[in-house]
Amino acid sequence: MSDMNFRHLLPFYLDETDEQVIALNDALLKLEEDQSDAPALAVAFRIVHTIKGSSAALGFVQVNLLTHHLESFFDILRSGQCTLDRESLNLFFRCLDELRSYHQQLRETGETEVDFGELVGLVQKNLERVRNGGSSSGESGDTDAGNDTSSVSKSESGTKANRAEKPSKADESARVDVRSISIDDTDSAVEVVARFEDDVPLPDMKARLIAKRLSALGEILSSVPSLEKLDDVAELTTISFRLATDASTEELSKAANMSGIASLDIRRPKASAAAPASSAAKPAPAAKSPERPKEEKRAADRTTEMVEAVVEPNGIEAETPKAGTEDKPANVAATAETQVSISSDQAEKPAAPKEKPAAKEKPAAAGKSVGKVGETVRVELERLDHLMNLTGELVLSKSRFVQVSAALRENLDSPSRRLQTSDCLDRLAAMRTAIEAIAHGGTDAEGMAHRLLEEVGSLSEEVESMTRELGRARRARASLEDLGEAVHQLTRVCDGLQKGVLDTRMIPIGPLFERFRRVIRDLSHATGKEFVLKISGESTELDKRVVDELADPLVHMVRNAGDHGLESPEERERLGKPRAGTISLSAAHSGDRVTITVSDDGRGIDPERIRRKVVENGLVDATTADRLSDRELIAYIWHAGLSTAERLTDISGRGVGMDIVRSRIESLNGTVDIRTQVGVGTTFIIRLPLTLAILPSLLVRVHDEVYAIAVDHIREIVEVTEDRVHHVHRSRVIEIRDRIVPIVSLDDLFVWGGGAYGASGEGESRDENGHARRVVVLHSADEMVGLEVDQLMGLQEVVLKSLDKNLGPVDGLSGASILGDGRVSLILDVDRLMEMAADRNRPKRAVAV
Amino acid sequence: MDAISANDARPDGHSAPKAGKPAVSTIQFVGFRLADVDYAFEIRRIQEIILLRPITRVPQLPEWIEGLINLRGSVIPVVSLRRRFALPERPNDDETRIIVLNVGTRTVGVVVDGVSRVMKIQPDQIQPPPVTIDAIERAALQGVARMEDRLIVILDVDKLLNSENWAAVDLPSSSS
Repeated sequence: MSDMNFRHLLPFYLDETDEQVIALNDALLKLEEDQSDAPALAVAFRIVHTIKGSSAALGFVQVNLLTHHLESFFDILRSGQCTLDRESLNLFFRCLDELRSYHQQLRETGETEVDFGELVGLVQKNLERVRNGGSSSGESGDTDAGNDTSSVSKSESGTKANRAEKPSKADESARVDVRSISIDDTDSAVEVVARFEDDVPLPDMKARLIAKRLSALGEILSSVPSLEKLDDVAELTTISFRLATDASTEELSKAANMSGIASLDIRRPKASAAAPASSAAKPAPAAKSPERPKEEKRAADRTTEMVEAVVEPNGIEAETPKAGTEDKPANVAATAETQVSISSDQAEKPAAPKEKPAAKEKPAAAGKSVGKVGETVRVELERLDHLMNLTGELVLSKSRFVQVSAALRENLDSPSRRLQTSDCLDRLAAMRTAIEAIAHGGTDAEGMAHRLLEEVGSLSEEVESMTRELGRARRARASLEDLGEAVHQLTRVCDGLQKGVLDTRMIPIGPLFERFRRVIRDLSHATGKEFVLKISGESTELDKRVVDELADPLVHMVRNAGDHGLESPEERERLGKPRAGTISLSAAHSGDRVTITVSDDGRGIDPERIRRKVVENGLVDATTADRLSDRELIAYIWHAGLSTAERLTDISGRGVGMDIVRSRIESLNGTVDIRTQVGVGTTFIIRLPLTLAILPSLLVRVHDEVYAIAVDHIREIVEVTEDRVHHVHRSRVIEIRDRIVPIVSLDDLFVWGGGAYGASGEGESRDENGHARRVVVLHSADEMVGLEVDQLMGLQEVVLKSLDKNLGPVDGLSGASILGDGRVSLILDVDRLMEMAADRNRPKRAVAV
Repeated sequence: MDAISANDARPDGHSAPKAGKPAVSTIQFVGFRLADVDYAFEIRRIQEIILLRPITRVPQLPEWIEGLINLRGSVIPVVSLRRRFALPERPNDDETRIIVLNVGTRTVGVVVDGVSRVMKIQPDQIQPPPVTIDAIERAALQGVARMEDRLIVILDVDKLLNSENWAAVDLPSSSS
């Protein structure tokens, strides 16, 4: 494997190995109790083998070497050639401990120089001894082991002490910070602090120049401000470098000195140890400009921010700043830096306020420092599943929010009512004047008109209050806008959350692929053939569950390729192919699917051979077999009756059959295709969804129910009129671009409790209707079937819920999902539906022929 | 749960005369109606009682499975006891409830005409079901108990609902 993937895969390697080491410990403990515990031996063997494989993949030669010898050891023990004795067991435990500390160190520092050489020698010696059944040499071996491990652990603790040294200078609790901030902080670092003259032109250029000159003398570990961020620093007055160098102070000062530099301070490591307390307390007396406190406060805030971002605030931070604040606030920020580069304090002090951006620079620079391995947390998959479910729920409630807010808007949005009321008011006013006119007419009419006037007056008041009410409604509409915005925001967060949760489940397929090196090796031993394994796309990420489920089918396919697909070396030579057959495993993303291919450059699948087999095995009669196309014949390799019969060799015969391979992949909502050419090779193409939990689907309505169809299985959607539907042997077909596609309805395929859907013959009447039907053209492998639906409801990502938990598997359904309105919709199992469609026609065809 | 707590008050009045007996052996049941017959489930098997909600029909299942409902994000099947016992169909009304039961590891809903009350019954009050009842149905009956003037049919939740694989059982003949 290339170095390119090294860093990327290291966390996975470490996590896995940690787990393996724990398991190995368990196994060894079991062996200690019962030294003939065969299962425990097998486990130990497997673990050591796994570590060996993965360490080789990542280039940890030492681990690889040690585990290689341990593997041989366990192999011999396993085979019963000799028995495990206490001496060997002790040695194993020692190896285990060494492996553990090796990886621990690796995790902490990103590298390790532990040499297992002697330990390996011991294992070898012990192996020899055990083989010979003697124990005399073992005595010396054991003492050797003692010496050796102690020396190893001494060097180990040496490095540990080395690492611990620095933190202990400051504060024990500061250890975490120090390490995470600058791992490469060695005690040999020399501090070069250059202060520029005021108003020097282009200080950043000069800083870079100094950096260039200094780098000729040694390695620049870090700088404050960091060189990359120089452009962002508003006013550069000081720059300090930390150098790993052997150069003398004179050489350094000569290199760094140039015009525009006010002072140059070169500090050797010794000074740094003594510096912190005094420097923190020592105030910079000058430059107490009035705006300073504010500046400093801000700087101090920033520092706090930074400290919080770093793992934990520590003792030195909490105390020294206090000492500093008493006489001079500026030191708050300055001392915070002591944890990184203590000696830089004094030099920075005169320019402290302006220097502050540097404090922000620090973590960034630290983040870049090499070595620290990205930390990971192992989480039970069940918890993630639970989280996934909750997220699914959240997504559902979100879509309900969306619906509710849309409905609210629709109902509140009635500007016409406002018009209506104002119109009412106008009319009332008109009436009032009319009545007033009457009132001036006669005496009797006068009393009447007055009553009417009162009536009209109260009416107008009412209408006015209605208007006010409407005004409130209008304001409510404005808040509705806010609601809409909030919902929109919620949607965004939901989507992000969902994606984030999904991402946590993603693991690279690499480790799974790597396992095949072993499979291939075994295969080579068993068959006497030569193989080359090519792996590509190992960083492709897939849902953990998919990867787990994929292991068995892949193993079977690879074994199959090696056992049946590839020719013997002699035969290959005769054919002009390289002696070693190539088996390739590759993975790649394509959209929201992952394509995994397993291919070989062997003999390919001969349709004629399958033709013979299917007849021999009584799957098809000879006449029918003669009429089968090559493609149809090759599809028979998925047939249980064929695969088991043909593949009873001891290699591929003992795993799962090809029929199981396919059903496993289909159970992951995946598909598998074969491309094969006689004499050239065979390629299996597996297409899988990235995750099982969420399925991009088309929602369709059939009768009263809404069904979800995985988008991956949909080829296209067409509208056809009745006259374009042809009847061929009682099955209905349509033509889509010259290809004849059978169409079915769910009524044809599904049996509803008690009979037809709704038991009302609704389906029939629909058939009579001459107008356009919507047909969703489904595809699985190379087959196409059109499914009639009543209505297309749109695309949606649905959260897959298994029916198995509370109900059980239902033929033709792959699960259920909950829609935005809270109702349950059924997810159609397209592969199965297409089989059902075919089965449905089969007996009819048999009658017809 | 509302239904239970609402009815909780009533049984106290009803079973007051029996309250004097040792409570150790009594079992609590929740009574419900189905075609004017009183039935009961043991209370500890009941997860909750909910109002009727939209049921999604599912193909390939025996007709007495009404379909699926969404119970706070879980998809659970709902059984029609009327159809299970071949009782005449009746439209659902305000009284119709779904009793959610725990059956083994499953959660299953049962549609009933209405939930009546919680009652305490002592095991010795329960008599075996009459032999005239159809054998298959009888298997699902735990027994019959007399409560005042009424006979209560006590159902055995496990025998009634815990067939291993519903999808495979009782499928109409056209399943092939």
